[in-house]
Amino acid sequence: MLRVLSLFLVLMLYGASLAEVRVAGELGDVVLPAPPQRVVALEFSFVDALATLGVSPVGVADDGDAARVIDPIRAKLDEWTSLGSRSQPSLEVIASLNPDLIIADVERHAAVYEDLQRIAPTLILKSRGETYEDNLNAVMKVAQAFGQEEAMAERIAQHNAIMDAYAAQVNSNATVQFAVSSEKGVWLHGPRAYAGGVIARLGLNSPIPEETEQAYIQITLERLVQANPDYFLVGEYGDQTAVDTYKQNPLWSVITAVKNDHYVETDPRLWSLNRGMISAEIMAGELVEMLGTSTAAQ
Amino acid sequence: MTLALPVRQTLSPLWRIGALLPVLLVAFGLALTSYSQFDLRLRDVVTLVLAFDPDNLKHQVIASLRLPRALAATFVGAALAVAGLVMQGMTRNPLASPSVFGVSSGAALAFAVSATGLIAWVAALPLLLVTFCGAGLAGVLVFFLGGLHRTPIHPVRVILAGVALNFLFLSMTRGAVILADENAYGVFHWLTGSLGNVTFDDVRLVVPWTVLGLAGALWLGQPLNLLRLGEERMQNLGGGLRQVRWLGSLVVVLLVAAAVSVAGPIGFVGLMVPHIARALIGSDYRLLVLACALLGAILLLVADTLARGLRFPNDSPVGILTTLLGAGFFLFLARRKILEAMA
Repeated sequence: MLRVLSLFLVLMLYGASLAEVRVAGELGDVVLPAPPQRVVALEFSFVDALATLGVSPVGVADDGDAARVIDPIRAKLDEWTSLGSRSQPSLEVIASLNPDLIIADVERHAAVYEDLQRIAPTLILKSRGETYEDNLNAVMKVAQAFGQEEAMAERIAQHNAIMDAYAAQVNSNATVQFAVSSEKGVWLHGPRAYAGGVIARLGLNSPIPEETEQAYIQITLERLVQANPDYFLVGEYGDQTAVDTYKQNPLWSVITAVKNDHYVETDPRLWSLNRGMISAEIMAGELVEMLGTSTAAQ
Repeated sequence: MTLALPVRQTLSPLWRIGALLPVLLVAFGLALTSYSQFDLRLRDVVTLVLAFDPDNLKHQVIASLRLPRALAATFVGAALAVAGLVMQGMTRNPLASPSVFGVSSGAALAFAVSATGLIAWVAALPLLLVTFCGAGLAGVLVFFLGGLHRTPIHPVRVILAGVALNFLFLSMTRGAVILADENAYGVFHWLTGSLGNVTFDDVRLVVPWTVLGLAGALWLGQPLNLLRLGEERMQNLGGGLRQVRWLGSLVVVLLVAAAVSVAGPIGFVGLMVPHIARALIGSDYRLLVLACALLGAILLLVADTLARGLRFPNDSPVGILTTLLGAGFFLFLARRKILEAMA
């Protein structure tokens, strides 16, 4: 009898191990007995990935404002419960949603990784400060968790084709720089940052190629004048930000981008917060349009 | 006692103060030209002064970026140093300074609440007013919790109140930053104290209030000299203890608020400089005010220049350097006090 029972047990475990999925996270593997149904995402880049897979997260750490996710992504998803800020999502709200998968950011959430695991299986991936390539890898891991690698590989191939098409339209070796500006400073997104990766993907150059260590570089106007980008895109958090004080300075008009009217104010949500393929394609479109209209104007 | 100091002795410190002026000039010149990718030279400063050429990129960098920054460093440094001196004189406590006593962190908290937009109507007020209220609130709290309204004051009580308030404000500031998350990215940086993005508007803001505060501190020089002899003695000599404390507190709040609203809470300048000044020119507060103003300006100019070189070509907040320096200085001071007490 005992032997039969143990055989039964072994068979059950074997069967379970057949269905279970193992995904390698940044801090350890996550084992999922079945494809997750209730997912929470603790960074915006994962929301982009989930939208691509057609999975609506039940909860998102959206800093208490669902509008921080850009409209094209939100349109693909059902409403979710806010989990509070990305730096400190509410563990209580996460637990109350009864998730069967938590997708967390290794940069922000490594400290609460164990607490999260106690609530549900936690896949911890790169997000904040990730490169364009990091993001594509992370997206693939998210797809693995749902057993949808093939569909995602297809989507990535499609994405590559779209980006190649945009890149083909860009016939320029101009330097393009994206920055975010808040009340107390301006941060350049260097070649290591996601936006920098998209710019490089189109074959455009960075005015600060030497900045390979930090993704986000806080600058002064002096540094900006020296970097002297041909095109300068700024995403502002707020009405009056540091870049507005730069505009008062006589040196502002010395910058090539400003001189040629290639200074563009853009959406920081798109360019900085919502990292992912959907955003990258819209960003690429904006870049091509910006370069196109300017060459037409010349 | 040495109320009427011999002429020879008063002259010599005055000369020493005079000798600080050329040092200030050199520090100012270095701040205008060092660590730039534009290869700025002192020669450029000279040609700029002789004939400003708006089309000359170097002239523009010096005049529109370096000059406001150096001016702000000069006045912020002077303000913080003199605020520290007045605090030390009033409390007769060598460890007193704006960053140890919570006045800076009170101003910083007010700034953080305003910059993160946590309370909408606070965000709408002018920055100086907000930081002034923060510094003022902290000042009033330290004043009463520390028992400065009583005679005689209890030095340990003042310190405990100051340190406790400092930590309270720091943790509240962190709370504000965490609550606001992404919006607070810049606030967090600013909380270290930085001169990276100052403009002439900031200079216009800090200069008049600093000058006013310095004038108040100069007026306080003689009463603080009397206070040094002891509270009872001061009152016997006809000094108004209450008046000195109120005016002193006002001067400190004014100077700290002006400095913090422009540069953030730059730590430890107010602690270090008065001690260096005392070692240099003795203990006459009338002279110490001048010496502290000059030394504070020099210290912050040099520290800001070095901070710029730390991760060149990127800027680092000057607060990192002053805090590093100051923490060491603080330990040195505490050790010396302990050794003195044991001897």
